[in-house]
Amino acid sequence: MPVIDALGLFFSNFFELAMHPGNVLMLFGSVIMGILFGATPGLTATLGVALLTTLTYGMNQGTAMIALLGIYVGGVYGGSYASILINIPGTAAAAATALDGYPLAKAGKGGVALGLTTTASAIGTFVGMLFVVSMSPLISALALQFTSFEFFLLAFFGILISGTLTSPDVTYKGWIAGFLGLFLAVIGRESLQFYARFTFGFSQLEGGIEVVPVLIGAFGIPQIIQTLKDKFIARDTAKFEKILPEWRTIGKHAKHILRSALIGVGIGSVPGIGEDIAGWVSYGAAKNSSKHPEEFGKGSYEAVVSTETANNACIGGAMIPLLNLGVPGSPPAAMLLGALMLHGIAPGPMLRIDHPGFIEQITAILLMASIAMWVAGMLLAKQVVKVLRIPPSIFMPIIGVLCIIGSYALGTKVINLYLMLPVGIICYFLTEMGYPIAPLVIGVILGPMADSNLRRALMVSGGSFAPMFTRPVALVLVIIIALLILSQIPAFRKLMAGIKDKLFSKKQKQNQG
Amino acid sequence: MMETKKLRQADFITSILLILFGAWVLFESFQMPMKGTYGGVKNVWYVSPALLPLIIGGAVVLLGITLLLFSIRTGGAADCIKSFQNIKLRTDVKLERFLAIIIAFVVLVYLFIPRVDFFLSVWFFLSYLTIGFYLDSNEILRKMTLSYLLISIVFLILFSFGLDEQVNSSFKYSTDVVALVSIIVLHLIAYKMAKGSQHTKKKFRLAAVISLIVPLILAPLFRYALLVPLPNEGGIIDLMSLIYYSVR
Repeated sequence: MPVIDALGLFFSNFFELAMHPGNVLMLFGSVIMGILFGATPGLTATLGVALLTTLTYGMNQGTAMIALLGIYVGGVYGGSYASILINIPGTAAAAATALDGYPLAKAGKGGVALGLTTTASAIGTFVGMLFVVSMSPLISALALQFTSFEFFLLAFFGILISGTLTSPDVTYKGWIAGFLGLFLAVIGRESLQFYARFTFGFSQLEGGIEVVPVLIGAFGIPQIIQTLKDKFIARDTAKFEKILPEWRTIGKHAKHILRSALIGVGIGSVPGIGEDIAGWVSYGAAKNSSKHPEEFGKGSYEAVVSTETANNACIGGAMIPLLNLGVPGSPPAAMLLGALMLHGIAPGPMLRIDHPGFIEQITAILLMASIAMWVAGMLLAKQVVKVLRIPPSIFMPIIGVLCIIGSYALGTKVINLYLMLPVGIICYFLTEMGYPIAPLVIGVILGPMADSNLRRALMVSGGSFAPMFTRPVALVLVIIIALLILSQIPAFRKLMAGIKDKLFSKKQKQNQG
Repeated sequence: MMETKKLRQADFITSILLILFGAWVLFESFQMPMKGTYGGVKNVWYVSPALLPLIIGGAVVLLGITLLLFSIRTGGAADCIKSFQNIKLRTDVKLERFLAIIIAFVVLVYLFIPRVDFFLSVWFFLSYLTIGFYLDSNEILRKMTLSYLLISIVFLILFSFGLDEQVNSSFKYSTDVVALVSIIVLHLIAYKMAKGSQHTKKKFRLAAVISLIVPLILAPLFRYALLVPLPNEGGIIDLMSLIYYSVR
């Protein structure tokens, strides 16, 4: 029944929002802006959300959410333009699209490929939205049973899993990044005793580090340095005639679309894992299950459809833990969490009680955004392609100024700028040395949740860790965390491999017998 | 990301830095109240503000040691020590470009934004970065960086010795005038270097126009549309306000 109630609320929200011309205008504006951000190599959906957060500060909460979700959806989809037309992924999420999209464009099928990605992305967003509206009542009902122990373990799990899955080098580099993020989160006066931690006597640090400037620094500055330093040159785009939706091709790949959407939602709902991983996993799954795996990498429609469906479905997936548990499912969702907090909304199990109808409003906006994205993609592709010809040396310094004014404008504090820049430079070096940035950001965001819940939980249990092992959800989280850590120890891996070998050899013997 | 060999060398240095950082976090955490009464709350170890920092410090030290052992095992530590022994100062174009970007941001954030009119600060920053990088010549970028640095040093001296307050007391916008002159000087230097080729001259014109247009849009947008008071409102912002409020 709660699911049916939620659906009813969702449709009433949808029509209410869609009836306001101002909302529709804002939606199309932000979606187009997102597409431009996504299409431009060096700019990402996360950075788009980060920079737009500043501009939404004075807006009412509903309009602000339309703008932010519009740029998020548009940004994830926009990455496919650069992937298909110049073989450079506009965003990491569209990296897998380039493998098959560009060969298609070279073969004169750029319009068809863009038509497919546009429709697949819209379907992906739609499926993700369906999951948000149907799963949220169940997950928030479950989350209401959580105690402080579960919340602490959830925060810890979020940091660890994000570090494990996003690290491009050894896994523990992801964990280090997560702990560095946690360290940033403990700066300032803590909430229980108001003791000033790591403030070095600066009164400006006592309020703690503001999340948005840290996120702008972490995502914006490394991107600017990287693009300008490496002399990224704008390339000529592959020619294409008309963008066609190709319904027949879409229908032919319905199986891949459904599977990829499920993969996208699943990966999106894991804390801190972004659209890029969803795209790659979906690409791999499509290749493994394809009747023509040899066509992958040479211009396969299956591949393009699978990656683009998955990365957009990931948006809905990422919103599920964000809205119901207060744990962001992806880096842009982390940025969105910062924006929600700015607008006085604290996501988590209490969201349904504090702001009834808010989750349904978000899902209605997601549906509107997917429609707006499809329409804008079909009509404006030729214009969007023009941004690919703008030299980065022209727009990157402007992005730099936007990062600066964006970090300052939220609290009108110059200290935010003083922090944003070193965080950005450190993040640049960390990226160069194979440390992922997503766990650091997740650490900054989940730090206060981990800190207060750990101490509150121990206060209630009188310093005993026993409830971690007696409460079922806590125990499951403890086991997963332990396995995550142990799986990185060679001796444990050897032991597990030995057990697996023994089990299989026993089974084989039984079969032979 | 770096190539694997360099990555393992970097791991050796970062692991040491991480161990030191973790040890410092632990040291600082042990200074925090663990027992007794603080802020009216009777402390036991599990409500202490040091609890999470202790976990963070301990984890960073442990992970730092793991990374150190990994860099030793993979030969990164030995390579790193060897490279320290044969240290050579090399000029690398990428390093120059990296330093140019960092200098631009550091000067803007720490020197200009808190003290000089926001419009002029952004114009100065964009004039240097956009012209310097868009003209796509290492020689021009090098000379622009040198000029930008020299101008910044002049401002640093002005601010460090309180000279800006002295000159501003006789005329309120003296610092802004100096900033405006600096921007013109920077443009003249770039123009002189660009005028040799028609193509470069065209690029210079475009970059110069963009570096002016961006603050011309952003400053009024934030100041009057989003009602964000800018970090430093000097001569140009005052002039904009004068126009805005007389027109409104």
